[in-house]
Amino acid sequence: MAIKNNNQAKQVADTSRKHLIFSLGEEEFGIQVLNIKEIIQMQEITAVPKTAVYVKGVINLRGQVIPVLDLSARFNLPQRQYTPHTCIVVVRLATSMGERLIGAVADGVSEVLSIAEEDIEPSPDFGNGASVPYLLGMAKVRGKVKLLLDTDKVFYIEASQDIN
Amino acid sequence: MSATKNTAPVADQLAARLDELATLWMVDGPGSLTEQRLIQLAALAQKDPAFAEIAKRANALANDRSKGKMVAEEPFTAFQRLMRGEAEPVVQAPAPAPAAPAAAQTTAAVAMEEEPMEEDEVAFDDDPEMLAGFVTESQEHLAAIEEQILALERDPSQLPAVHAVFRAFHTIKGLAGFLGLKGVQGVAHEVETLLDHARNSRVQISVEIVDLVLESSEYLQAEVNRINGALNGADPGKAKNNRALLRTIATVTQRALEGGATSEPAAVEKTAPVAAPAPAPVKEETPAALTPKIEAPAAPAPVAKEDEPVAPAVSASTAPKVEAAAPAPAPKAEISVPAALELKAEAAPTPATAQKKVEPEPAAAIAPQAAVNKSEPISASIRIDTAKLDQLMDMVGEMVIAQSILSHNPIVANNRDARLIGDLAQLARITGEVQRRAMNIRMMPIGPLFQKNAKLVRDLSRRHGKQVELLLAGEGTELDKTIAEELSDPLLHMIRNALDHGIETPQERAAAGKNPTATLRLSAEHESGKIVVSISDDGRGLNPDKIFRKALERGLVTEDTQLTETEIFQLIFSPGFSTAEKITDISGRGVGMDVVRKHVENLRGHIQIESELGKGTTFYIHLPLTLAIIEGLVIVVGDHRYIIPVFSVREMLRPTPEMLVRVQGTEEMILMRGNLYPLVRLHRRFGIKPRSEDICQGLVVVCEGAGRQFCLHVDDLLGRQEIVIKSLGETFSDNTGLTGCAILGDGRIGLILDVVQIFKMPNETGEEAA
Repeated sequence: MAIKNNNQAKQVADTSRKHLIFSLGEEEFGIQVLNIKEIIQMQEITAVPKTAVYVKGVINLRGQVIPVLDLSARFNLPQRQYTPHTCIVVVRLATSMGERLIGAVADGVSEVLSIAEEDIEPSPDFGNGASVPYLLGMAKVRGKVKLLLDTDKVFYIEASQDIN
Repeated sequence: MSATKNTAPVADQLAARLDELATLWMVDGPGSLTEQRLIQLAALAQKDPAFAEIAKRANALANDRSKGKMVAEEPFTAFQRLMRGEAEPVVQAPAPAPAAPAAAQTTAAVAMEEEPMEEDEVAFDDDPEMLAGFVTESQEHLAAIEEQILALERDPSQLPAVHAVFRAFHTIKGLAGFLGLKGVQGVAHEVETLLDHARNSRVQISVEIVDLVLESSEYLQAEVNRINGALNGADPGKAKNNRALLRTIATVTQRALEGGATSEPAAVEKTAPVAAPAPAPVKEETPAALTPKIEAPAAPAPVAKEDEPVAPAVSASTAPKVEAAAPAPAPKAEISVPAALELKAEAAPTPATAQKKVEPEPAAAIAPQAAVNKSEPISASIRIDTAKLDQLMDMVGEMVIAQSILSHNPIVANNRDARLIGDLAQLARITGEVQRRAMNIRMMPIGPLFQKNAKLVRDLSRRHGKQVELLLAGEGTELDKTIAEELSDPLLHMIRNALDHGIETPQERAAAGKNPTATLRLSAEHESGKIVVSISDDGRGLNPDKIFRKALERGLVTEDTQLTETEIFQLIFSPGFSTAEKITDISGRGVGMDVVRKHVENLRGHIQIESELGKGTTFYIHLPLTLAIIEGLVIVVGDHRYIIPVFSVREMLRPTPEMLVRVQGTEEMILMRGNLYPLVRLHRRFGIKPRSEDICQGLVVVCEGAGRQFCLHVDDLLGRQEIVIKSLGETFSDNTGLTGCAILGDGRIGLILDVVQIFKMPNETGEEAA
């Protein structure tokens, strides 16, 4: 993963190193700015029945209906109350059908960081055979660790039949 | 070829365009588009000297044209050749008598094409975009060819139709030429030559020619399909050999040229008495260049007039038509001569009845005419990616919502300023109009869909020795493009069905005292915000007893099932039902009427049958105008709002306790007016918390779908409104119970329920379920 990041860094120079940092509870995550369409304020999400727990529902993004995920549920983090800082990060995903938009609820976005490749470590191996599937790597910035997300994996929604 | 091939692709495309325009020019005169091209061409000429000469020539032609000079054909052909890079420096002097040089040129061209079948020079990975453009454009032109040539067969005197077919072939030829598709080019060229003679009245359109043109268009279609396949990754293979076809066309052209005289008497001999007086006027007409053109279309008129007394009784019987046709005087015979050769009764009465039908329904008559005329200026429409249209629709929808939010804003709603109120009202009007127009973009006339089937009817009836006359009505009726596309298959199948099962052989018909020529009528009309497409035949009709016995055999009903005639007719839509004694290649292609019904239901439509034994059958397909907008009931369950499409709702009521019936402790039913309906509680299906478990606190909606009814328990009804359906996206594509969603008036999303799926799905057993 680090190698992939490396290549991208060469191609797109600075921009690909830039990551949007957002928080979920105590943890901080990073998503490449290149993959982000926009950040919108929290709005009412229409729940879709018979979907996985981490699918919050759908929202109306200027006439486009896009799904919104609850990453806390995906990462098994405790549920928290919405605050004025709660927002929806809208991410672009490249699919076979073309670009697709998908949102994720975040407790708040803090900053955009340029992360050098040497500061990124491969995703951790906890020794129990299951490495963390959604992580591209971990970045150490000013003594704190940001978890860099693999958007393709973290925003993948399993078909509803597979849920149970 | 080579000169332009070396320049930029845009130049190639432009040249292909020009080629087409040159043809248009000849026939219709320059349009604004032409001027645009001229400007582009001038710009190109500045960059590339190769175009300087073309530009000069084009300008000169445009000038001639604008001065009202009749531009002779010759400079144009030269012009086209030049664009193809076939160097030809000499500008033709004003054309002499058009006939001679044109013919000379034709023979030269024929000689050129007669060489062994040339290999295509096309490289499939070179220019995929241009090839794709060729495929779409050719397909359009081929469709036009089919439509027009069949119209021609009915009335060979229609000069505009000859022009249209000629133009279509010409354009295909031009396009194919630039792409190096020699096979297509060759065939298109030969047909074009033949049609050129026809439009200059040197050749009379005959059945032979119609057949040949159709055969050629089939060849072209096959080639276009092959190219399309290659573009989609299939093995391109080799172009089909067109030598035989080329030779046939050349022979027919030659024969037709030598004598409309020699070929037509032959036809006359076979159809002796009726057509006998015909050759005379035809012969006179042929050499006389332009004047007869005007007379020709007038010919059917007297016939129609003579028939007028019969006309109002269209449905009465087809018999009088035939009687009228037989002793018809010369002008009538003239029309039917070519058709009479093979089709005899099938084609012969067509012009007469077409005219007749027209009389009592002027509106219907004008519509097809208008459609034909409309298809003339090709440049009047542009092709748009449907994705762009959808985006536009999205934004328009947003605008409507934003406007509604604005007007409901308390500050705005409470204001007393007359001017602001006026301005807001104006905004609301404009927004509504924009929405209406945007919706209208997706609408297209149903005519082309009908036309597509005209050829099918012709082919199948011939092949099976049935005599069928196809009547079309309401071709101008507009419906959503998606619906039109989805309707194509069911319609095709129902027509096949009618031809195979409904319509008897001429012998059977004669024995039953009917006109040996059957009538198949396709029509479309608007009816209270819906579209009704009907397929009507005067064949043997549905036999309820036979259908019932068959259904019994198939185990679809039991001996003591009591059914009305309508219900029995509906049985033919059951899966696995087929009354055909034997499977023919017309129907029985693995598509049953059940699939037809499913298709139609997917379009939120339904099929109604009317049939009288021995008299005929009519299928009415009721369809919504558009798939994009439906009327929905907004309902509430707990904190959630859902939309139930109005078309699946029969009624709604607040139940009383005694209406609830328990079955085996778990299942519930509602007893209403003596009928029992299964009860489905939406909150249990979806695993959400309702406001109340007591059904008497809520409402039951009686839903209908897939032929069954059930009650859906919901908390409350919020209202009824028109909604724009949106897809939930591929993420939720396999989600059961939902067909999509819509953005409600407050900008929030409401999910649209699929009641059939909801009925079938199991209850959710999640922790939230009560």
